[in-house]
Amino acid sequence: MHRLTHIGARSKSTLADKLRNAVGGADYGKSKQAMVSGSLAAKDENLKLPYSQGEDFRELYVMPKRKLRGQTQLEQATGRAEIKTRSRFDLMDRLAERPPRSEEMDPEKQKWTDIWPAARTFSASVVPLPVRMGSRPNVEKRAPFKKEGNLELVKIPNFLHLTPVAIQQHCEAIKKFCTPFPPELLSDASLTPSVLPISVQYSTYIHQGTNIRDIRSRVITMIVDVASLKLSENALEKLVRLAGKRYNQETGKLTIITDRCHTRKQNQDYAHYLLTVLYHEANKQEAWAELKERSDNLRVEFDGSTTKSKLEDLIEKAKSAGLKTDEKALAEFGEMWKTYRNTEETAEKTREYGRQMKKMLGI
Amino acid sequence: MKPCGRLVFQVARRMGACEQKISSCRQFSSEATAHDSIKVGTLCEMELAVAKQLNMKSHLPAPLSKQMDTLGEIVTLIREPIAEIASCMRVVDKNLPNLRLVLWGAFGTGKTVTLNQAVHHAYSNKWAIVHLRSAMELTRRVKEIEMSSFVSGRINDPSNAVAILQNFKQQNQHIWKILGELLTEKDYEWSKSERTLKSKPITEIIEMGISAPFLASDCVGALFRELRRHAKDDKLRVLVAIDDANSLWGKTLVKRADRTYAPPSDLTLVVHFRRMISNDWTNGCVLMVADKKEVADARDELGVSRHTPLELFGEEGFEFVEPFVPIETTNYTESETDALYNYYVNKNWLASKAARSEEGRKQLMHLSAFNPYYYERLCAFN
Repeated sequence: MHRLTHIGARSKSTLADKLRNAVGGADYGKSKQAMVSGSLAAKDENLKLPYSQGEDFRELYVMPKRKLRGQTQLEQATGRAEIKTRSRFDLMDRLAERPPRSEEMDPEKQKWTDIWPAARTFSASVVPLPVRMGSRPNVEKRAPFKKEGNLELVKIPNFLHLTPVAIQQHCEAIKKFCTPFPPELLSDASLTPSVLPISVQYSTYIHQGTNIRDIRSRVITMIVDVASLKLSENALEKLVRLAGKRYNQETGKLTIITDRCHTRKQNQDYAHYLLTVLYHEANKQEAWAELKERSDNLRVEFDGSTTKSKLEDLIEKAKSAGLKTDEKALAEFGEMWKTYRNTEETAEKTREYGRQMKKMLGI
Repeated sequence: MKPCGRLVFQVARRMGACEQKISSCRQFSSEATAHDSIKVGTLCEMELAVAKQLNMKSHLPAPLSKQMDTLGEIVTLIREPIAEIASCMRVVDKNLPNLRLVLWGAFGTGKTVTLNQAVHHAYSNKWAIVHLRSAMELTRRVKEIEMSSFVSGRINDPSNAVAILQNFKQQNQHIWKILGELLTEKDYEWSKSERTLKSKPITEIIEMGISAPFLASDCVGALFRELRRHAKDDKLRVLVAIDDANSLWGKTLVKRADRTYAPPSDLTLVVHFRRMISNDWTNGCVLMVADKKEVADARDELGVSRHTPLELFGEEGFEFVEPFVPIETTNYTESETDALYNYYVNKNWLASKAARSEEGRKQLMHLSAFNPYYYERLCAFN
């Protein structure tokens, strides 16, 4: 009321009255009736308009027939009106949609291999695992993001199609195409080089990342048992020289590592190609190969060495001097000398050398 | 006080026992005859005058020559290798090519000491001695060089050559008279003015080399040549003892005019010593030491070089010295350490109470891991 006293100009306005009444409450309709009739009568008296004798002035009703928002809010705040809760507008749409499949699953009865038979990207609604992924500044306060709508889980490769059960099923399925591994080889590994002279090794890499390919998986290591190539002595020496470090003198194995092609298949083909070329090149006999001298040999030979000639000379002189020496000792010494010169020198071998030498010289 | 007293008693008894043992087993080189002197496991004392003549002070390893000064005597342990060498030296004959022995073994096991014992053995048998302190001196410690006028391309080393001649002269005083009676085979024309005529004593060559260093390298060659010839004629027997002999086939630090390193075969003295090693002469014994100081690199912390002959001599050197008898020097056995321990206790070289106790004896033995060098080092500080 206090506020309204200031609005002198508007005090006679009907709209102001109406508002006043609206704030007043439920007796709106009655007061309006009274006010409307009263005011009209007053008007009639004052103005004496020609149409005032006829029917009532039909007022244009512009206000809605409901309470104003401010009114309801006030009522709700003071507890005079109930707060109505309304369901969401798309309730029916939502009800029409199916809940996530994972919630309906029964892990006991369900076959996971049927649900996830092949490799596919992660799907939150299908996988019934409470996995989370992502980084949070403080994980203890707030856990990593859950699986729903988590793009990080979609990006990484998954191996949900490679469960032990799935692999077992796969093996069972292809078993009818396989033959058993030779039991003789299982029991005696030393037979392997003669039966399976070539072995090929490669690696497959599994790791977390956006790409399941790995550049290292293209590398092929082929190990060949050289003895099974049945090379002649010359050819073997040539092969050893050509192979260089790839040939292991102790085990007699040739190791070819190929990685220059892009795929594993190409590299495997290339390794076989190299072996073929090596074999045929080793079997070639060139004209210049006959120029080989003693010093070109891969191994030091006792026959024809200066040591042998010196020893023979020495033994002859010893004989003439009257010392007893035996011929067998020289041959024995030659054998020992060959191993001494051609293998790694150790203290024990040197001692053996001394023993043989003393025996031969008869000291 | 009682246990302490007992300890003192025990030590005293022990010392008494030691004295007895030492005095019973130690031999003096003067009283020992040529072949009986080698008894493995005994201590052998060299007379100081002899040690001085054989120049032991510079030829023995530094710790031992210092110990010689300190104790006023030089006592070494007779071990297996020297017995072996002595038995080999007994075989030497004028009809047999010279016998070549290579001493090899790990660091500090007594290669050099054995070599010096062999030199002493040769001395007591009145052999001529050609003793080189270290072949490495010829290849890596060359102070001054001269180009040879005798063979073009060869590099002479006057200072080392003079040292070799002087050493030869000093070490062979015991047979100097015999050497003076041996005559040269031919005229040696050292330079336009200097010459040694035929049928002059070979000691003249030595004097010539010592007085004229620029001729010394050639004089060494001539001396060796004459020695080989006279050994063949059974006038005398020669022991050639070369320490670090594998350095004769190692690397050198001698630079030629074109600033490249000269191979050892270009060094006159190395060539002369190689000729001495070769077995085209008789009635001699060549004793070489294969030492890994030639190939080991102090700055290479990870590499462990072998101490075996083939590795050290290399293929070329190995084929040159073959056939040879390798003789290994090894670590001490317990009885050998005991012999030395008793000697040190007896000389009061082991002075502290702890070292003189039974516990100390064992500790010294095991701390040194039976390595002779480390055993001596430990005993020097206890």
